[in-house]
Amino acid sequence: MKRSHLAAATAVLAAAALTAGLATPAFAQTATTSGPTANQQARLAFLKARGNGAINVRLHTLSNDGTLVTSAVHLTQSDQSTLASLISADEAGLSSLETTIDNDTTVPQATTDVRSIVTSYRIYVLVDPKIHLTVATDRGLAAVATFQQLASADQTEITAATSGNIAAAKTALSSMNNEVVLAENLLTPVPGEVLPLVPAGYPANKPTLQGAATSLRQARQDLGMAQAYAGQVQSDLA
Amino acid sequence: MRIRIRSAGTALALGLGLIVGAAACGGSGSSSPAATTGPAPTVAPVSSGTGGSAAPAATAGAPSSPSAAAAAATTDLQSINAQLSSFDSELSTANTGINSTEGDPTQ
Repeated sequence: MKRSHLAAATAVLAAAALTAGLATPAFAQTATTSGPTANQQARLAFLKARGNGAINVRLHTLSNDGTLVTSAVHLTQSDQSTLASLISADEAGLSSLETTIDNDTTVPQATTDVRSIVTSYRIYVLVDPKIHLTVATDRGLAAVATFQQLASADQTEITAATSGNIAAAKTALSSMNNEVVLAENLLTPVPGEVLPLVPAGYPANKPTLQGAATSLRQARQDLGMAQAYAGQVQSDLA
Repeated sequence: MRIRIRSAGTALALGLGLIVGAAACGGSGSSSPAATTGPAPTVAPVSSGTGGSAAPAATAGAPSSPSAAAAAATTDLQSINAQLSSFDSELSTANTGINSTEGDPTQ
């Protein structure tokens, strides 16, 4: 009897040991494939929220830029078309990326995708500055066109003038025209310099943006002087 | 008389001052829209927000009379002010972006 109890106990232990031996690997395997832990899930949710937020603010910026570009009537058709295409492509790309991020199932995937919002698009440090530099150029060229129209009106006044300091008015008008030409020469190349810049080239292409901004500042100074000369023409003829 | 101004701000201030003076002279009653051969010039439709770049309305050649030319000049100077104001705004926005950095959104 004792012997049979001992045998039974041994059999139970052996079965338990076997069960444990079989179950342990199975359990371990289940643990590694059952999805992210609570921490990973929280991190994934965080990344998705950050990604969606980052994309939405960029889409808002691009929408505003689209409106701006539409109003830039002094741009060449080619430049305006380039900017419109750039904006559309970035909007489409970011919207697609948002879907990708929403469907990400792991933290590494989401991290890579969320980072690409910045690295693949460079909306704030490259695209938006490109657009505003180009539109600033448009505004400057609009002013150039108005100065040229003003020069015509001034010339009519000078030709008909019988009083006032006519010689000084002529000189001021000539100076105004010279400043306008200087400004136009600085403004005209800017779109061609900045529009080809792409996110993959950033930050190496940042100096090109800075150089374009410098050209625009110089052009602005010339246009400011042209403004002063324009006022001088009027005052000389008064 | 030739003037040289090195500061854009000074130039703008001078220009604005002269424009005011010119506008006052132009508005002395020496002309009326009826005396011109073309439509009276209008202020260019440049908005104060994002800024438009439309050319001034008076684009159909040179004014044919001195009085019309003076009126057109006043209008042109007003348009230039608006265009350059918009220019300044756009350049400022561009500079802000150029000098900024985009943070890592995963952090």
